[in-house]
Amino acid sequence: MENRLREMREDKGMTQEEVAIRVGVSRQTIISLEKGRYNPSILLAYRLARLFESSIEELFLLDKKGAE
Amino acid sequence: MIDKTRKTMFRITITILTILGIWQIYQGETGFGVGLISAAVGVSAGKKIRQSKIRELQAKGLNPFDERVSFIANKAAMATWKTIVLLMAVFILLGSVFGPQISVNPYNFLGFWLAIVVIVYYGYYYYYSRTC
Repeated sequence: MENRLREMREDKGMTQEEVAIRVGVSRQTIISLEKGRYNPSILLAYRLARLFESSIEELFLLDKKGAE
Repeated sequence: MIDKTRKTMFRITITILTILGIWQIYQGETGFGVGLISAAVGVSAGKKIRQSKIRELQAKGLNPFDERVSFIANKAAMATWKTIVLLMAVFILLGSVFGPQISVNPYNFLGFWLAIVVIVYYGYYYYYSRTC
């Protein structure tokens, strides 16, 4: 799943480690999320959206393959 | 299972392995005995290193046991299950058709398969931790 995680994180001037601490996951998870290799649980997606003051739909982009 | 119980069970297991190893060496099965003791030492050392890394991450405020770890472990377990079933099926088929009648120590045979399962699981875990 594509996402705007890296873009929003850089806009806020946060490091991956800071984001990881704030949402309660490991830095490796944030790295995997940003690369689109891992899809978060709904709870993590919600925490990330709240951290970046955004909605889940703005943060995570469901591609055509995911929609099918 | 609470931490204290888990630690106690681990210590008991390591102690049993070490005692069995010493007993095997005393019985003349030096290789097997040394193997058991090496396994006990290796597992203890590995656990200590892992615990110190976990403490380091937790001190930074990071969570080393997050959902991605569970996700990877589940994927690795499923892949291991499928691989082992397939391997055993092939082994049984080929052995039944082409294999000679051999007598094996069933405990050694089970130990062999246990080692295969562990190696395959850690192989898949490493693979999924790199790709997920």
